[in-house]
Amino acid sequence: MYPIIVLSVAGILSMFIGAFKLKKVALPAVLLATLAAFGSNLLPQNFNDTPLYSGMLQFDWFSIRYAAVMIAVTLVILILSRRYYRDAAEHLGDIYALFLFSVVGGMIMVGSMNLVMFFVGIEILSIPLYILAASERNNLLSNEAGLKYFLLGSFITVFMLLGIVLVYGTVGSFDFDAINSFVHSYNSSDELPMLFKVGVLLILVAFIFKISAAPFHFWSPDVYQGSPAVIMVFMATVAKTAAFGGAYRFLDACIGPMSDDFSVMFAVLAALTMSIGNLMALRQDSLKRLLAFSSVANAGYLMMGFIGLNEKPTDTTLYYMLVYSIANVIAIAVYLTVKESQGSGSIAGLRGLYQSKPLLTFCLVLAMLSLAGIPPLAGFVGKYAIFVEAIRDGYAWLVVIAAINSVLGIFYYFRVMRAAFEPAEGGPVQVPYVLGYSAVLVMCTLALLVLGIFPNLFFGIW
Amino acid sequence: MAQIFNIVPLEHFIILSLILFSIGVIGVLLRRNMIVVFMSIELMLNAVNLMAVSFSAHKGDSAGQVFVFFVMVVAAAEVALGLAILVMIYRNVKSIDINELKQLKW
Amino acid sequence: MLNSYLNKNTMESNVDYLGILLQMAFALGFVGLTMVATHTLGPKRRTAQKAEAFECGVESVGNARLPFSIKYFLTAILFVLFDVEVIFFYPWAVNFKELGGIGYLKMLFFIAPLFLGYLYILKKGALNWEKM
Repeated sequence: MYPIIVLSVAGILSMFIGAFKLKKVALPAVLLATLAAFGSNLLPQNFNDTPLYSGMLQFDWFSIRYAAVMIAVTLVILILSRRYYRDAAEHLGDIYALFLFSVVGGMIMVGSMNLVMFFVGIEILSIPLYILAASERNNLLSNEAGLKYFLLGSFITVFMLLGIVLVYGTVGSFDFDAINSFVHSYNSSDELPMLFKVGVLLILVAFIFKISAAPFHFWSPDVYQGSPAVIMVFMATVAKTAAFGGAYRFLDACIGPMSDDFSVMFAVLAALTMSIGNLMALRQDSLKRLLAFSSVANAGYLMMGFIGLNEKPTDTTLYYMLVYSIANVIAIAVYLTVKESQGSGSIAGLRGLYQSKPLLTFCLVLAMLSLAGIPPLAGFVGKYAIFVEAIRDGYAWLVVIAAINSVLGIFYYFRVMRAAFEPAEGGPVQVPYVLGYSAVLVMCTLALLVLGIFPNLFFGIW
Repeated sequence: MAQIFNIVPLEHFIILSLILFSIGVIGVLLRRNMIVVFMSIELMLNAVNLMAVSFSAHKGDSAGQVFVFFVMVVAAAEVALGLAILVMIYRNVKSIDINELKQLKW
Repeated sequence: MLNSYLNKNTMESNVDYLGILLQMAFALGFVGLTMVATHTLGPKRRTAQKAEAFECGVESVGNARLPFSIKYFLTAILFVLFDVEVIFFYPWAVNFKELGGIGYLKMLFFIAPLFLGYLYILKKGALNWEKM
């Protein structure tokens, strides 16, 4: 609850910093607020096992963990956004405010115990993202990305609303506990009213859209490619973490025992999603688009965590999400430097990186190895843990498909690495120096290594 | 309030809102003018609102009506944002036809 | 069934409409008062330009589908955003007595961010007609 308050106030403050044209203060203030939110999130007073505000929000361990990951990744993205927003200072305060509001929406969504709060959270998460995707006003690609995201996003949201209202119509309450006991009052989920089942399915469709899983993944490569790179990495990491957290909350606290009926659906969709993502990523030339399809593929692996939800901890998905986020942030940070010096966002634009920036290349290589799932990096541990759980639930066929997909993934991640080591035509490229940029990147890379070698650092502290 | 359901059964309200919702879906899928697409999305939202209010009256529970307030506010925010994006695009391409935007493709 | 529903309403109607009548009289009175006040208090200068048909500042001859200035759009959007927040006042107004002072404070707290938003657009110059 505290981080929500801190970040909301900080967002409003950042808007005024922008309005009063205090460019120099904007980033330090926002970073300080984000740090404060991270600290207040871990306060013992923040933990509460009973829902607050007449049963609207619940800040239990689940929401605190998700909030911690979201705030931490946002912090890193904000630091790295300095390179991107050095010149575009006109709307800096507004852009940072929108970042913060979006994180607030994600936290509300993950902590919600009521369908109304849930809907409000998903909207507070999405509406800033629509604006941010279109935030490069004179770039037609960005405009198009914003419009596509907005149209499809609001279209799907209406379907989710219809689902919520149908659930409300059968149960007579928006409260998760009331809906849970409604489901419990039936012996098997076959006896549940038809309207209720349709409603739950419509809400799940909205989730499948938000996490960009097949068959609703078509928007994500276009939107990711068109949006500014900093926004793209925010959507692929923080927004996706929030969407997965919200889906878990809904499946676990709201429909509870019924969620096992969707296991087969999730398994089929996961297989479809990772296959489509990996196959399409193989033939991409643009680094951003490659990362977009890799994000679709990773949504597939993460969806395996929805199978047999009631008997297992939600730690593995969060671990995977954290590790994927860090690797993605590193890749985009390297992309930003390359884009700045070369003006080209293609994979071939990475050539000559090793000659001019060996440290950045090292970070990129480790990030790609982690994404590909090579031991001893953290990406391997995440994949391994998810696969083991899927086998335990009796979905060996799904794990076989996922393993084949991981091999496919190695191909395109290695293509990116090879390009970085190839010599450039025009000699080594010079990249302007930005304070603290490399330090943060190296720290992220070290986090990947440490989390990979000592995963219990993550699994043990909760 | 609940007496109304003696004259008009709840099913009729649900069917009416589903018809409105379907008209909205068809509008979004078929029309190429962005403003008409926004209007279709609004129609879908209002169909959902109608359903929420009729369920609320039927159950004698006011939560559904409060939910409609939230939906209306979110709809207003979305419309404001959608029109802003529309104006921005109109300034760049001088058109509000969705088919004009085809830069991003595989 | 239909009759009983209608009869029940007509029985209680005479008393209940008094409030609406009062509110209507108040609204109309306010409009009338402001109109009279502006006519009597404001200075008057009659020119040929002013006698023209008025169409929101746009030249009233030529193509009706003229692309018009972005100012109107911005004002309209801001109006919609602030206007729609009023619906949250209805439940409060209905339960005003039960919610009491605490409810009033809560509504002030609800309005505060909106007021900050108003200050923000003011500072951004979104309401400055000349500069836009």
